[in-house]
Amino acid sequence: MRYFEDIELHHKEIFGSYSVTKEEIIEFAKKWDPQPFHIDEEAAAKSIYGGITAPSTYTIAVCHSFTTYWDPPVAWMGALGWQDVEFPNPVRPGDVLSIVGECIERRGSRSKYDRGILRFLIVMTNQNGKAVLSFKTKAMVARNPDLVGARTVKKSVAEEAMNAYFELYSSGDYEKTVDTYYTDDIVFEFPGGKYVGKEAVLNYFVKLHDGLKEIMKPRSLLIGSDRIAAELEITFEAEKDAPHFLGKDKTLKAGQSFTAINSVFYDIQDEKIRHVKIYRP
Amino acid sequence: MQLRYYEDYEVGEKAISDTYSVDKTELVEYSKKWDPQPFHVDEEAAKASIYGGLTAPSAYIVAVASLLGNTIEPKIAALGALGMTDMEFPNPMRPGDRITLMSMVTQKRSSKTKPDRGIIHYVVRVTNQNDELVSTYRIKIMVAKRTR
Repeated sequence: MRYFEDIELHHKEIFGSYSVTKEEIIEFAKKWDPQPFHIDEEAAAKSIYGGITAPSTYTIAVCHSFTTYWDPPVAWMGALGWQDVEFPNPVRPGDVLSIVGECIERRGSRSKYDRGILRFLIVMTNQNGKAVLSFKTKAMVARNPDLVGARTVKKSVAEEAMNAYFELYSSGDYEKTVDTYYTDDIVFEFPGGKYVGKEAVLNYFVKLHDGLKEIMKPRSLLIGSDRIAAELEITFEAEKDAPHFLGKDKTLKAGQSFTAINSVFYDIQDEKIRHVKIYRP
Repeated sequence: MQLRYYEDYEVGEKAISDTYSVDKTELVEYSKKWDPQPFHVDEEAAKASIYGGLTAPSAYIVAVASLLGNTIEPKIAALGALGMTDMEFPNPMRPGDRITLMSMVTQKRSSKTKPDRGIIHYVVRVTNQNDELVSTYRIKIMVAKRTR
């Protein structure tokens, strides 16, 4: 199987040959385009063509039948559109048709990582070298799933690791959290505070959570190669009165809870968190 | 059979075709012969594809459009199609779809070399039962003149 990555710009593919029969043209035309000059020999003899000719839809069908013969096959995902479809000469019974296709444009899909878009110039000629069909076609082609898979797995691993981190933090085991997930030179930053190094961060966590339980729930995670952005729902539950917690002279009383949404950026280095930066709304 | 000739067409005029119901067996048979991609011929493979079910090959969509074009009365004194462009397939055509074609004349001109004919340009829209666009394109058709 050939994927998007395997087909280079200006790659040419040659196909042949398809033998056209009168019976097939007439049968096809009776169903899809029953003009007299396609289905009736007498009428066709008197027409401007002087004999049976194939409907343009038949010519297109023959051309598309060649997509199957790409060898090795191509991971087609569907056609997006055609441009400049022309029929310079009619197709007649007895014609032997062949095709040259050239890749004239290639780009990755802007919205879907698993595919790319290839544009081909296709020219179909008869046994005398005369063109009977030419057009440009834009097709979606799958990317190699082994390569797509690598990225998907890495992404899901990062997501799983982050969820495990939120869970461990919410359990209150800050020592293990800091030890497992942070680099030695961790920087932990939020509006009005900044701590550097594992020990300073751990001391801050322990002091902050004296009599307060903190639950962190991710609402969304955006995972990049070395940076993760998260929107977190954070709930503090007071086990005893927490003076000034909600502002000057505003106490979060025992049994009460407080929820807020934070935006947090994590810089990742060697699969650990090196920098945490918290933005509060 | 009553025919309409080159002179009878006016720029801006619109026409609507009959409706064609897409039959699964026919679609699969067509695809087996002309475009046997798994998502056109194999229901299971099609379910697992990005389309979630069988879809028609683009060549079949064009064939259905041709058939529908032929249902417009009175029939056009066509001498053949010269070309198509700007052809897009925004939504897939599926078995069970009820397809209609609408055309509008956008341009017409006499042939420069053959006085017995002219060329009519159409813009064509092919829609399904939910009024979703299945295909749109421009087509140039060679049409016989009445006065020859």
